[in-house]
Amino acid sequence: MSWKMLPSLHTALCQQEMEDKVISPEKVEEIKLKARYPNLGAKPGGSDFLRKRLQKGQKYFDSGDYNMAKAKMKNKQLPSAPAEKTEITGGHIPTPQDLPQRKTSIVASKLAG
Amino acid sequence: ADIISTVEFNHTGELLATGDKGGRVVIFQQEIENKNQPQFRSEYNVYSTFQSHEPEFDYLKSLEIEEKINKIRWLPQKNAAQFLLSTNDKTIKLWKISERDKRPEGYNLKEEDGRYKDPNTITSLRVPVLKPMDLMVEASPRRVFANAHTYHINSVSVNSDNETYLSADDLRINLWHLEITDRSFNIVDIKPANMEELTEVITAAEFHPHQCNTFVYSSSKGTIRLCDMRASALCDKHSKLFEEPEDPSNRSFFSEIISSISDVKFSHNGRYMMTRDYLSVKIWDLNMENRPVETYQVHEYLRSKLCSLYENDCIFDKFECCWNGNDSVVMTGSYNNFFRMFDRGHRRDVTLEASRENSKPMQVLKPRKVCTGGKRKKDEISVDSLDFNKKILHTAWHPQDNIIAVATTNNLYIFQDKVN
Repeated sequence: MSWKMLPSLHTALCQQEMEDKVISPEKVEEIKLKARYPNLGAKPGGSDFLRKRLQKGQKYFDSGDYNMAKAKMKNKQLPSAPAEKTEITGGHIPTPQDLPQRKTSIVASKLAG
Repeated sequence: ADIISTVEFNHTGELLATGDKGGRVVIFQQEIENKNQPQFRSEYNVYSTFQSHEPEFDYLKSLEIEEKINKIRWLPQKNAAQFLLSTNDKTIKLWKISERDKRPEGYNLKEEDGRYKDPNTITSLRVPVLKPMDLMVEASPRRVFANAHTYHINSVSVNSDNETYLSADDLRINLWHLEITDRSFNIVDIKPANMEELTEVITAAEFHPHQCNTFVYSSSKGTIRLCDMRASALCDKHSKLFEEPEDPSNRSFFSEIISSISDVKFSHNGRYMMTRDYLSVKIWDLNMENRPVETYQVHEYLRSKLCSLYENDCIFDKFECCWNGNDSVVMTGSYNNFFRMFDRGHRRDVTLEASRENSKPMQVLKPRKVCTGGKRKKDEISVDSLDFNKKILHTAWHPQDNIIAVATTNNLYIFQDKVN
């Protein structure tokens, strides 16, 4: 005896399979994400996110560290100024104003991070 | 530092304030041409600029405190001066903006340049006279409300009683009196005893426009709680909880993140409130807690891009939303310098673009369309060519007229409805 599936049952089963296969776009994206980051925590949108959000604001080791970082920022903005000074050649006797300013030490302060 | 972080019209719409990442506030004033004709054209010109907040360093925690202005809220005008509250992550300041257009001349003891005269040379007495001078706009800090927030302030809202205001951070909401800076009352505290149990944070808070005892706060889990300050001193127990039930079969890793509410705004008539989550705008009737009465999709096509939006952090972008003067239209921003308007009554929506390249001043804006399917029509933009760095997070609508302010990353655009 061979069993033949009844047409209506066959259709119903096919439909069920199709429904199972149609995943929401969000789920598709989730699968993509989990494939790229397999170590992603099981608790989505949970404490990790929130903890990171509550901690916003760059942390420094101490206030000295903070002030050195701010000074570094200011120094980065200066380079254009010396470039504007004209070259001193030959027939001109240099005055203190003409001399370049002392360069910053190569040995960094121990306070710098 | 020029990145605009907040935009707000005052109660008459004559002034428009913007705050930026560098702690500066710039106020624009409306100049109207042809005031007497119905087809007026208005222009907003710079009225005042001042440094509201400076970067600070918290020595105890070794943390940098950003000077970025998170919110500006205007106080209703009481006298000739204008007042506004501006806040960064930790400190709220009350600023007084006043005009000076006269100055006294003819002092008895002082020369015109301010030097003091030798009293022996004075032989007669005269009364100083007020003479007109070029308009000078001065901004001075009148109150500094500091040291009341452990976490980062996300909202400030002035009460309709015009005496108090609230400030909200991630876990707490405080009630202040505008005259008193050395104390504030804590009215909401959702900090768990054990921080490991933290599951949600406060994302926005606002006072009801007319009921001075009512305020709402939204959470990162997509809920809104309405609280009544008459019920108890500490409003941890809400009076109403607004939450749309979720279909559990649709749940994904992203569900909670995209349900986080980034902004909540009461309607002007006080009967509704609007919330903005990552993909939609929802209008709630204050009398119905179990679901919103209207839902508008802002950029549904992003649902199939959530993976990349999570990777580039865009999924955490906090978009604001606003009502027009008569609560018939709502507006919110999107990516690619697009912003969206939803006409509630006519069930129409439009996508417009704020960009100098694609429109000239005084030219009518052309509606934009994002193509989601395969075949892209002419003038449509495909989802993959959207620029996610060009985000419009802050928008504001004039309280009476159809004038809107839209902030792109570095620029402020002002659009006016074309009156036929």
